Amino acid sequence: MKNFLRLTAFFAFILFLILPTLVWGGLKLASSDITKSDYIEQTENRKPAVMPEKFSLKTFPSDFEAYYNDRLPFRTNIILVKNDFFDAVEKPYNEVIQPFLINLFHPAEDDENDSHVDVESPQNNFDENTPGYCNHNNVALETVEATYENMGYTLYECTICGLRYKGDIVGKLIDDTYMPPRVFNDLVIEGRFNWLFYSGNNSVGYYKGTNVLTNQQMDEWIVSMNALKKICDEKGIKLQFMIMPNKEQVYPEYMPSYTVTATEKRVPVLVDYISRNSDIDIIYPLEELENAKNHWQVYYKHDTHWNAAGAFIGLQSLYRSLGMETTDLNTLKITERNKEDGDLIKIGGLSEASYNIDTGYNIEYKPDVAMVAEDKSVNEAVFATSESANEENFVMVGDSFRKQMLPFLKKDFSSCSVFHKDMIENEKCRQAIKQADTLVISTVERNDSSILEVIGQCIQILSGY
Amino acid sequence: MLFSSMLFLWVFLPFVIITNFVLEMLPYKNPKVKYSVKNGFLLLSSLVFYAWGGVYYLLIMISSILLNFFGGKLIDKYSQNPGLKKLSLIATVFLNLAILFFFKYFNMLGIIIESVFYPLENSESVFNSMINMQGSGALDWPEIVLPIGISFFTFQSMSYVIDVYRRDVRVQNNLFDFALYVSLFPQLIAGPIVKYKDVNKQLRNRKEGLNLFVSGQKRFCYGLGKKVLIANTFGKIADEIWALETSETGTALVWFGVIAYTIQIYYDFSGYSDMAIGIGRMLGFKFKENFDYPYTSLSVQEFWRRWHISLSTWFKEYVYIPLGGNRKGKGRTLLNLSIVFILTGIWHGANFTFIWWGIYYGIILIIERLFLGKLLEKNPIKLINRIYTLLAVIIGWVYFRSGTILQANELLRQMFVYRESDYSVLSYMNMFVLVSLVFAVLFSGFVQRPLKELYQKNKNNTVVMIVDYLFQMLIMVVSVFLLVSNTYNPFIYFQF
Repeated sequence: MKNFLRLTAFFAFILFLILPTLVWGGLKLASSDITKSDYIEQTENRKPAVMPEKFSLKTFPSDFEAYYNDRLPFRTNIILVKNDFFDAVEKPYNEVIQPFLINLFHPAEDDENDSHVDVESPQNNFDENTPGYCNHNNVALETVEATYENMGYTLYECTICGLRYKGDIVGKLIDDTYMPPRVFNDLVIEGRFNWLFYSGNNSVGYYKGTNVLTNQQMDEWIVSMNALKKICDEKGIKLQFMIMPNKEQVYPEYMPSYTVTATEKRVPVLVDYISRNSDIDIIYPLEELENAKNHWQVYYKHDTHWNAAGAFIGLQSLYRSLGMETTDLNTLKITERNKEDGDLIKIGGLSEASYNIDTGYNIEYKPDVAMVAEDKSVNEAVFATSESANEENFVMVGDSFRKQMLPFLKKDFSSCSVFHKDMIENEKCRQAIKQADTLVISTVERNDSSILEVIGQCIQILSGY
Repeated sequence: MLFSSMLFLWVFLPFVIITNFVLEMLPYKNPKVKYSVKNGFLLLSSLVFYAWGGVYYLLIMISSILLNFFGGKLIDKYSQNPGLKKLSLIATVFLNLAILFFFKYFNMLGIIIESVFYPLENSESVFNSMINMQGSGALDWPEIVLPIGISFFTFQSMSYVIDVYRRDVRVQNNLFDFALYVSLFPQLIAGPIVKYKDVNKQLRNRKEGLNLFVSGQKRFCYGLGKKVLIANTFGKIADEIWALETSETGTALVWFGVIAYTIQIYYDFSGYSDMAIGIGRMLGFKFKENFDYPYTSLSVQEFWRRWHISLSTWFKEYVYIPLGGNRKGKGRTLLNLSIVFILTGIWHGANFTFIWWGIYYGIILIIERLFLGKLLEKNPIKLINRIYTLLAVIIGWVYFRSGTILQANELLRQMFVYRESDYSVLSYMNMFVLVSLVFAVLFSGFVQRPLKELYQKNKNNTVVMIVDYLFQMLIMVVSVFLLVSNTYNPFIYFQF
């Protein structure tokens, strides 16, 4: 019996080592469609690794290993099962153990400076469908003047259970209990109420205000920007810089509990410094987005980007800076739509099933302005012409945040060229810059220093190189 | 190539095991031919395994093999001429150490020279700059990349030539068999350091029976689990905490990070040794144990009898005893101990943190030798012994893991002088970490040692065997799931 068991263990071990490969190989021979997987492209936003055309002894091991890892037998199935399994395993921890540990190590502080003001209970704002609503039958709520991160909104607090509600937003809830920051796949921060945030590019440093530039560094920015402005002025090009806030700056209430002691943050300080010490036009539409978020969700919950509403608000700030007419979003027809496949879910290697569907918007904008042509022959670039009354040549060199602004830009300018900064050396993009009436260089906050590289490239292009 | 990579688990290892098995089963007229063929195959596999980490490093290992092979032959040739025999040994050992020094310590030497002769403008003192490895870059020496496993195979080779000199073993006249001894892939990269006399007979006489194979597979499975499920989990935590600025860390967080590292280094190293021993057994080789539940020790002396046993026995046999060991009076004994531990520290890495780590243990062992050891032995409350030993070991790991002595000192200060942290320990916790923590603590020997006898009596019990094998498979399955998931690598560039 013992030998039989040993023999069984032996075969089980050997089969475990070779069977996945044999079965996978068999399936592939039977039908390549069975094993064909778009998983990598769909979820990891890249193509499977390929062997380089030129053989190199030095890089062959790493190339081959990357190639093999992307084609592991049953890779997709294993990753999906593992994600679902770990989600299930983590559920009791998140729901039971973590709250217990938080109460133990981070007990809620008593509010010593209670300033109770009797106000009419904002009953109309909440009902039993409000997520997390405590259902204490609309017992009088008291305002709490102390706010989270001095955001200026009104908080209400249930007098029975102490649960707090943000009074200005219908159905929104604020939870200021301690929540430990947890990061998935080294890149995605788990926030409150299923919000996700990106932690790459030192986003946490921007959030905490630990990477503020020195005056000397900001002066270098001004020198660089002025060099481009000089050339633009000579060529009659209106130059504008735009920095889009990181999501966590707009929605800090959904971030977990980071210790933030700095009173100033990098980009607001930089924009303020540049505005005070030069003629450069630069905007950072944080305030506009903070106001707008009371009425619309302006960033996606599970994606790093702003949605159509956020992009529209940011764009109005840009137009204001350019001296153009602006439009109130309230006057437009907006319909909510579902958004799935947030990039943060993929980047974090998370299970989509654990995250509810996100909110996006369809905004009907200037339906009377017809599009004439749209050239998408260059990767990550759009060259559009429309029947807009504004005959300026508008050029925007940006990052992925530009995409949500594009539908509006196309209708606001008869000639509109919007492309990713990495395509700037493409001939069509270079020509567009040379022919621009308005040149906007934009970037998201966490990549702010990429502006300097784009400036250098624009200078070269406009100088004829 | 790593043991804990899918290419190794699903391609290299099954290929080697099955081919080895097939070569064993082929009909040979002469058993010598069988071993020549099998050894040839294993040698080729080992060279491919090593070359996978860097083809050019293969040349260094081959040079080491040739140096020690011919060094051994030279020593044997002059066996009747003590002077030349000794000279041959000295020359061979010197060249071994020269190669090791060049690849491992050349960069460190550059930093020391820069600290002394070309200090940084804002450096507080030459001494501080030196011990904190703050080079100015003035010398602009090229960066020498350390070949993987060079410390292990160099010491392994040196043990051979010294044993030939001492006539503990006969010289190996077959270059390929000697090359196999040095380069055998299970123990090549991370030990155990196998002495030639422990395996020389197995080179030409080994049996891959079912019992040995299954015991090897068990060691391999548990080793893989130790590495993937526990060591990697806590390694990630330790790396993240050590990467924080010391201005962001606090007492609780540092303690958590240090405990995470304490768990990581044991499970990583012993897990690798288990896998090496396991693969060795699957191929018919029996290697000696390298770890014996060191965290259950009751003194630091005992800790060093249980931790990285192959290294401590190497230093004992080839440094401590030739220096006189404990046979030349107390003073000399303590001096010999100090030398051994300084060398142990140096062996581990080219940084003053490792040297200080070695000195630190030397000091503790001297204190134990002088009086503390006897007190510990007589102490009836063994819990105190355990706490003392673990504390001493944990403090040592702070130096071992830190990048500079400055960082280590600051972390130790935060461990013992309360400070609030910017981050909570809870940021690093989840169910998997919690369960791994429980397993890591219990199974670092606190379960195994008391139950050892019971297990030995019942290990051939059918139920015990079935549970054991099922548990092994579970560990393999979960480990593979994690390893496959680690290949998930989203491309985020064009998103931004």
